[in-house]
Amino acid sequence: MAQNRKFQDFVETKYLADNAVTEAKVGGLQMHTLKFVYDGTSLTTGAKTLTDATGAALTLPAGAIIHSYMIDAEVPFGSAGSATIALGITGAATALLGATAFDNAALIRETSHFRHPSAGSLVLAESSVLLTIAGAALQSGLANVYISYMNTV
Amino acid sequence: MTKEWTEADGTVYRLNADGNYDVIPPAKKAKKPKKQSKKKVADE
Repeated sequence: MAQNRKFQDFVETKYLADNAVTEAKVGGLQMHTLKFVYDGTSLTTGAKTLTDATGAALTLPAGAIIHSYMIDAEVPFGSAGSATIALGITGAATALLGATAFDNAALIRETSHFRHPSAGSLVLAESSVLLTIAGAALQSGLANVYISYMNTV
Repeated sequence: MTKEWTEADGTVYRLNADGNYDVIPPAKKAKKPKKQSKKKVADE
């Protein structure tokens, strides 16, 4: 394939100044992805606040528009009862995923994929991400939740 | 951060000391006492 020898170096990232590609320059369509973690230390029913990989607080910014999310259960969710899992944000605990059986395909590593929010995409105020366990306690589970969003323009 | 809110179905989410939220299901409405059937009333 023919190459444009004048421009092939021009597009290398080493020629881009730090922070040169801003939201404004890509028309506000820059996608961001954050990784939230449910570390499985609390398996009882209730809404668990997800953190970053080090256990520190991590939030979605005000004005974020969630495009999609994916749950990667590194340690499979297990329960002796009929536990359900929901995913949402503070103020809307089922905004991303309504109560879903712990062994549903959406919550199994091999069959999970990026999904759109089930109830609402707009994050009005800075919000934590919550994983709500209901119905029965879990016996096991550790999951990474990847959330892709853009900022409001 | 939001300390407490109520979802549309009446479920209350309340922040507890460990940074997670307690989920309090909506209170069940008291059942109305059953009306006696007309037939039963007539028999009496």
